[in-house]
Amino acid sequence: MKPVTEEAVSRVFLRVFAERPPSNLRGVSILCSELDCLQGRPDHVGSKSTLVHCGVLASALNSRTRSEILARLHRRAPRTLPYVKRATGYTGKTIVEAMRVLELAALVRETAPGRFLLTERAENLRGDLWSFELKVEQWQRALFQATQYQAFASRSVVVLPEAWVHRAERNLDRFAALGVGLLAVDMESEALRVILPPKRVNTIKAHFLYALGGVLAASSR
Amino acid sequence: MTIYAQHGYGKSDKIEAGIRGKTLSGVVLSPRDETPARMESYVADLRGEFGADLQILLDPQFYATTVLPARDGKLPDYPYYRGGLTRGNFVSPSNIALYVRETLDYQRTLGVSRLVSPTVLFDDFNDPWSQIALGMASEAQGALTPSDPGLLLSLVFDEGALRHRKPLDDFLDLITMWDVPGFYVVVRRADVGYPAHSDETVLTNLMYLLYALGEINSFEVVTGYSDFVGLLGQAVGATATCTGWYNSLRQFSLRRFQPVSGGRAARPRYSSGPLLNSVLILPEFSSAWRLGHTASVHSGTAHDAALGSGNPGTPPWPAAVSCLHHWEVMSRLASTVVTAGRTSRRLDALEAILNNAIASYASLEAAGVTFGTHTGSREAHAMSRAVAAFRREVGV
Repeated sequence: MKPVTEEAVSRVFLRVFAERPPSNLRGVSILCSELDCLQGRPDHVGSKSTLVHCGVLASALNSRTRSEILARLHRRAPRTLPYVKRATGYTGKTIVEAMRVLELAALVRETAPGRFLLTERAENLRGDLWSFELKVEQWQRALFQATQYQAFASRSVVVLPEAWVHRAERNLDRFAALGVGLLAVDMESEALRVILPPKRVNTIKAHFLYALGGVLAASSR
Repeated sequence: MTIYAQHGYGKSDKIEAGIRGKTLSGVVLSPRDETPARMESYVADLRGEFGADLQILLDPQFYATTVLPARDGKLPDYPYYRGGLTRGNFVSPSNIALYVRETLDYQRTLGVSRLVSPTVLFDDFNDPWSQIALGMASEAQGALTPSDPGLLLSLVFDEGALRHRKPLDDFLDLITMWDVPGFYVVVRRADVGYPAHSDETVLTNLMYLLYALGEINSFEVVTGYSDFVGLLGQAVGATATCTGWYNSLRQFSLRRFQPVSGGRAARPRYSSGPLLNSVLILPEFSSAWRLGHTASVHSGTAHDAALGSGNPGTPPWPAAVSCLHHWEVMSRLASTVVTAGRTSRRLDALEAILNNAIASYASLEAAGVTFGTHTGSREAHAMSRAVAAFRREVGV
């Protein structure tokens, strides 16, 4: 039997996922791969939502500074510059510059000098992102990375080849405790088997916004 | 309190806040990161606010002179520093005398609590660089004047030097004959990840070195860039542990003085007293919270309030708060160890801390929390084995 590589697992996974997704993953589309997030680079990121590319929006969100600042703002309660400084640790100059970009992207509006509100457009930046972390054998490392990606992905899944997934299956309680899903790829018959569906977890807003920016940028290419 | 700030770039007002918060009793200044004018005024400001009780040291960082190419920051602005030195520059005794004299002369202008001798980094207690380091130390002793505030001899070496006891013993036989108040000891770590992987033999021999210097020979011993490992030193007689706000200020590597390309922002960490480690807020602390096991991670400092009671990954955890929290955790741990009394009791206290850390990791992992290689229980186990080996060997 040929040794299995992560690239080969990824190819089969993507092909089968697009053509014959498992029933509990139906509706999820893989949007991009190797997305640069605040917590690393998941192999694949998907969503059930339809995301419409907008370059200005992608650029505004895909910045650590701007996503952290945006995450601290509110739709109805204006936040002041000193509040945002305390909340983020950024300097006034950095915040002012970030707000300028966010205003251009119609995500923020300044209601009075130094007082900021989220716009409706910003409030509607919701959705569920899914992360898929592929490994051949190192299920523990994949599990660790999957929990990292729960910062932005409401559902995280570890994907392993069928030949090696038994090692992870012996530790299914750990996956269940952390809400991480487990999926096996049969390289011979080219089939996907959901061993444990992922649980939905609450994400961290700044991380979600940053990742969303990355997904929007990637979806334009 | 026996924790000193290891100063570096971006100090803001963290050091002053740590001293006011009574978690720091000293600071080791880095000339690489301040201009001479700014250094002078900073020392004056510290003395003005905190008086003579505050221990202020300057690490002259002379070991950076042999780094090629060097990323030596503000060091070239200092009168004693000269970059690009090779072994050939250290052949002449008059050169060594000049380097030492200029370095000490500069520190005399600052109002530091002790002078710190210049040195070079060596890999082994028998290699040529170690002989140069001994020569510089000997020269420094000879250059002292009665009005000097006392001298700490610098020892900066690779952790590999601690793998073998015989050369270490020979080295100790030499340096313990010196008539100086003490030593500033810095160990270069082989592993660049934080926290660095610690070899049990290296830790045991490090404890032996610090015990010989601090406890047996009553030298004042400041362990630079020592972080959690410094607690082992304090259990066996070291005076102070130094640690800072970046990972590069918590363990020593020459990478700090070498050009770098790329890199990403460090991930937020939470210094856990129970785990004796700085764990990643995301995903480790966050997973512990999700599984209802925050008590096994929480340090219980005044700064924990910033994280609230929800997912610790959500609220901001600015670098300044993280640093002050880290110093408070270190200070409490050091205090638990040092106030236990004589060496055997200090080691008992340290072993209790380590056993608790191992048990806490076990309960977290049993609950499903997954740790990374560097932030898991590996270090606690290595330290525990090292302490046990040291106790057997020395009989305390």
